[in-house]
Amino acid sequence: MSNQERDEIVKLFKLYTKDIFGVAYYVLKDKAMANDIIMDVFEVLLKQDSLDHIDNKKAWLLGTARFLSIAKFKKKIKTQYGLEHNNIQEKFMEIEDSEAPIIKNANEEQLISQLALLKPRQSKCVESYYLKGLSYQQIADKENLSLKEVKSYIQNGKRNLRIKLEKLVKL
Amino acid sequence: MSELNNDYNLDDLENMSKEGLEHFNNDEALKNIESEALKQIESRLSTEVIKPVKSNMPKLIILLVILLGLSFFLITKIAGGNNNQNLYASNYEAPPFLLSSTERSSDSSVDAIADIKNLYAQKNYNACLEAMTANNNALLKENTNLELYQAICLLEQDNASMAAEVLSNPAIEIEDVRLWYLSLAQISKGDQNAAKATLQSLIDLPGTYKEEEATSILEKLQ
Repeated sequence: MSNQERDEIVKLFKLYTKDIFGVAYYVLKDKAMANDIIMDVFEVLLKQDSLDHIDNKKAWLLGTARFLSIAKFKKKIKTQYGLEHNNIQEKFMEIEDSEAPIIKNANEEQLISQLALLKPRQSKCVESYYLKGLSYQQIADKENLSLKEVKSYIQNGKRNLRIKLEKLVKL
Repeated sequence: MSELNNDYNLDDLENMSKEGLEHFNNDEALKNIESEALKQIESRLSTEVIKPVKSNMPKLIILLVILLGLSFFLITKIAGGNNNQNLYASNYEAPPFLLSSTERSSDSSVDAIADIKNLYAQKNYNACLEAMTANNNALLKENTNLELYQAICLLEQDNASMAAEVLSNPAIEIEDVRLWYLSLAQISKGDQNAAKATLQSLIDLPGTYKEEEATSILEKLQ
């Protein structure tokens, strides 16, 4: 790595560390894990032969942060819930509703990655409700939300999850 | 990874980051995170080895050198192989069958050896080999010198490896002839070092058969 490239990297991280953390926190909802993602993105950047081929450096850094965060989120979910194949779908299927068919058809990887991309509160509430099996009241207490907000986040979260999965299937 | 990075545009990523930061909602902690990350990055960069600007030129030069080396090796190998073949071909001829049909043979094998002699004269080397090895090599066991002609038949069939193996038997009494054909078999199968040693042994024998040719081949091999 040349001195010029080093200087450029420092400059990039001075400018975008906050944005990288924001993307990582959006997906992971965890300060320590999001913090780790900053260094993970840096390590990936170091492995590049040159920075010249990266046209839009901000998009590259945030895109890489998003990719690494989703990977970490998947790992976390699988470790946390000891998922076997289809286990995650089954957890979602326990409550029958109109979103069920598309969730049933998605594979585990798709389901977890799209869950990661829901808005943070929606993702957190959906995860707590379906995967952790917490009640509305327990989620409300834990996240410092009203019962109405929890219901709304879960409902909207599951609908958005269906929409995201449908887009993915169409692609 | 680049494909995954590109499936969201910058606006989406910026919005995601904005919402993430809103959700985090702790400016003080965020400042600490930023400054800590920068410290780590600067420390990590200070241990990173400075590398020259990358160019494809050195790789191309290395590739070229490897290709040239490989070509040289192949050309030398092919040329060397041809030399061995030429050395062998220009010096080899099947000698006349000098083994007497009655020489130290039992009555039962006299006829068999006479048959082999006829087949050899007709250059029917395949039939010769079959006749020699009939009855579980009985004839060969009884007449060790017959192995010399067995090896010559094998050489005629381009089976230099087997010929060299047979000719390695020091029990064959016609030592200089054995060494001569052994060296030709070794050249034929590409074992130059062994051939040089054999030729040297042949030359060292007093008043040896093919001494002149053996010396000439040895010089070429060296």
